[in-house]
Amino acid sequence: MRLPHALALALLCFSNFACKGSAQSDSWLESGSDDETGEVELGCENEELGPPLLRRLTRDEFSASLVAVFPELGAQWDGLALGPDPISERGFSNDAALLSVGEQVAEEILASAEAAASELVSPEVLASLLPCSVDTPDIVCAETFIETRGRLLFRRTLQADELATYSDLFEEVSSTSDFATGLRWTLVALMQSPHFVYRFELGAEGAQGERELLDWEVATALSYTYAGVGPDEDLLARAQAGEFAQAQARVDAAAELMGAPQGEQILSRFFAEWIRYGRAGSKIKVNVETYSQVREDLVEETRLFVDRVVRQEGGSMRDLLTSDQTYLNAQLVSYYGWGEGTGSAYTSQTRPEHYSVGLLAQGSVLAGYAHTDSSSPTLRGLLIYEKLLCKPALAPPPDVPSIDPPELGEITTRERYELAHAGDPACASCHQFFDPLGFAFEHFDESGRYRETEGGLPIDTSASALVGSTMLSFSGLTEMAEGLAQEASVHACTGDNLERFAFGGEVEGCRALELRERLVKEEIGLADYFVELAGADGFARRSGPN
Amino acid sequence: MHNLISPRNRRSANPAEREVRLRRRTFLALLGSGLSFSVASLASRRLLAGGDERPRRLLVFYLPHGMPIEHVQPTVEGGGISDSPIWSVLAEHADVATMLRGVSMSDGATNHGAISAMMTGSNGGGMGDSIDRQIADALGVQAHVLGALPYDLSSGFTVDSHLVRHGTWVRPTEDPAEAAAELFAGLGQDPDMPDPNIAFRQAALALSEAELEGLSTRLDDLSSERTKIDLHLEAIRSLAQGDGGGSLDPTCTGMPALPKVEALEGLEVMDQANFGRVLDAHLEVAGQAFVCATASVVTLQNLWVNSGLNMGFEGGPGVPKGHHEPISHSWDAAGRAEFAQVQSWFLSRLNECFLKALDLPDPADPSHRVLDNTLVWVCSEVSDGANHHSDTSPMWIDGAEWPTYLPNMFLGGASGHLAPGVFDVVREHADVLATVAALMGVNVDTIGGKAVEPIAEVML
Repeated sequence: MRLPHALALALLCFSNFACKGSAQSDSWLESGSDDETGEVELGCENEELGPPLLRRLTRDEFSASLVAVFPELGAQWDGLALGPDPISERGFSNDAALLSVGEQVAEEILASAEAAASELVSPEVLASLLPCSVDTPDIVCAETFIETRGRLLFRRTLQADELATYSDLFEEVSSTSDFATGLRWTLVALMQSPHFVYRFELGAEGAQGERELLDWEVATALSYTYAGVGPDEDLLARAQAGEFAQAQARVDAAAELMGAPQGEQILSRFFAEWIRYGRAGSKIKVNVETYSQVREDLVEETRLFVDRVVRQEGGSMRDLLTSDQTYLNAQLVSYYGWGEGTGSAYTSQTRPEHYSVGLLAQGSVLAGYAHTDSSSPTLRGLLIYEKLLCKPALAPPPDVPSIDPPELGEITTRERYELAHAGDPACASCHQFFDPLGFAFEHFDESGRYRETEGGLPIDTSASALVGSTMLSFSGLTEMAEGLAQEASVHACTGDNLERFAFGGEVEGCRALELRERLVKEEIGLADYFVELAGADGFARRSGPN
Repeated sequence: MHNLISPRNRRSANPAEREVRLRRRTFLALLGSGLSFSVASLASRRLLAGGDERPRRLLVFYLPHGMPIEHVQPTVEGGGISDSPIWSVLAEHADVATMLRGVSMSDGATNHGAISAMMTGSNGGGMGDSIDRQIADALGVQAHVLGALPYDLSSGFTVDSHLVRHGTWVRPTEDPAEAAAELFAGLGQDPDMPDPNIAFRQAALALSEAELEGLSTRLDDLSSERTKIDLHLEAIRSLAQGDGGGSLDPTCTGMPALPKVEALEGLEVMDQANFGRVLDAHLEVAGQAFVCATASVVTLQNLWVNSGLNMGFEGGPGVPKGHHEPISHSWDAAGRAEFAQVQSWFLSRLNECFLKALDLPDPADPSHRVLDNTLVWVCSEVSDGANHHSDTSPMWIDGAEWPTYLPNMFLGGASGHLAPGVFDVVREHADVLATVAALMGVNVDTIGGKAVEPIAEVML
């Protein structure tokens, strides 16, 4: 019997249902159901402040910040030496606990700083970067530069002793070289400073032992959360004037930032990291020759779909799961067999009924959660179980046997999986929770395309699965997607993940309980929920010391 | 030329030495400039501290997902490497080959825990550095980490790729050209022309160090954030100090010819189709660095563990299926034979591009070959790929019971300290790490807080 490693991660083929997820994950098992209490299932029971944090800039934030502070580098600056960010269990690249600076990252930051600084003090750039360097290349000129650009880099005004320290460095270097070299190494020090490398969310201690973020820390949090870049002078000035002490002002600023070009990418990144549909772009499908030609197009299709539903239309999770629209170019139209398309541009298309609906029917999702040579009810079921229902990732047991390989025309994938999993009580103890969810997808093969039969054999997509406190019964992906869209736990789970993404980590409860309730009741769309998090008490305050 | 300077590549044996970190285009420009490779004829020198006159070098060659056990075991009773279907591709080196059987993963680690235990000895990685770093630190050299497709671009650097730990998990250098720049840094530079940038960089690092010290003090009541800053502070101090060398004396006066690296120009190194070329190039870099004595501790991390890499790429083993599945998870005879073919292919590249390159007199010790003064450790985190375990549980295959164990092969003479042959032991993996260290002249007696002991049977 054959079972791939990634699949094995979700198995616990022995008697105990031993969930080794995080404490936050455990709460999902303990949340009261709306059947028992009449209350809405929110995925959390109380509101909590997050801890004070130093959040290292992600790779993208680092690059975007340098280019924003020094537009002289050019939007296409490619001198960044930072490697890929570490990924959290939830799939996010902005987890504050994981974004540390060890030797490798410190070296990469240094190399990036040197590359940027060298570019900025090159003869072609320096004159426009710092006009006084032409006629009066002296300490006064340098200090003016340190003060103005330093404020943008550190996202606050430099203190007098900081300015003195950097001035001293400039003088030390320039005295044995020249103005440009002095400025270069001063820039290197500024760019590798912890005051640039980390987003500060430490705050100042308040009356109750909790911490109030400082005005510039709030501006920093707003700017990075909603635009992925440091605050500009205008945002810093507004923060300094006390504007963001008001919750609504923060929400308005967040909406403004999200509406700008850089902000438009934020929620795209969330869905790409949460659902991980981008993995379809590196998959191999040994039986589908054309797959390698379209795999990147599949990823782009989903990106456009998500952007349209969530950002442009302000949709909810229900909309994402049940929309009958998608975006295709000519190649994808042909790939899916929807007729003959024209042109390379992506245009809105209505999905044929048999091609189901929503995010779960996206080709990238179907192909990304499948094997090289067959579909996988377990992988697809786990997508829903872990990502949409926030169930804990299960620790795999040792010695997980492999599942039998496909036998086209002899046995369907569903039958093969049922034999392997449902047929063994030890395996069924876990697989009963997610394999049935995966059976709903079986009219879609490993490449994301519809199949009426599987090797000539009829396909059965009917199943039942526990979703929240509901036993959901369905036949096919559309029915299952519509059923999931009704479930409070799906909306709550989405909100939980959005919150973690916004704040770079997790707390035991929610940071904004009332807002979560509005999301679960579908009184607010996903984009608006994300923006409104800026108005939460937990956005501008942190808990006391640990 | 766009020179970037990094203290990480400093060779502090020479007080006037340069620090050069070259980007790929710069490296290629250098090759084009006509710098030639020449091996200086030097009297035998001690490359490493430790009281041993012979140089010592270590290459860790990591293969994911184990091997099909019936293709690992020698086919004759008492047989050696030449009788093992998989290992026989290295048969020409049988006189310096040591097959170790009977090892189980430490700490009961399996799956992801076993990946991170591979070089650290602790399930999940623990808190300590991996063995390569411990060895390098003891020898006063840098531990280099290279990687051929070490992680999935779409998923990022996840736990599937957490093998080497130097304070934090190390992302391997993916680009062989960058690896070359790193491993041959400083070659060809004029020692009489000191680089003033070193002093300026030190000044910038000193400023950052002071800022971090101040921040650490301020965070006295926020332990988790203070830990974060203290790690950063340690990293800055390490950068400021450089690799602490003094141990390596290059035997080359210029960059050696690296045709496999040159052949990658214009190609994307993380494109799966180029995997074979990238692997060959990394092996070439590591091999030549050992010959030139510009590096002595290198880990080559091949593939991330759940890699779906289609092994049908040009120059590959000729199995057009995914490495992880179905290949490594095959239970049928034909599939397992393909798995053996694929893992053998990795070993064949190790032979062609690395081992053979070391089969020449050691410039630092002409009475021996470079290979005689090298230790290559081939390892994997899983015993049998399909059975997916990391211990010595026996398996039944086609009605016959087979013993299993983590694959462990040592190659090279380890400077006269490695006993060739096949050795059956009952040991935990952490003892293998202690053995690797001991063979490199470094004493490690605890790993992950537990006492460890080198496997004396394989040591001379």
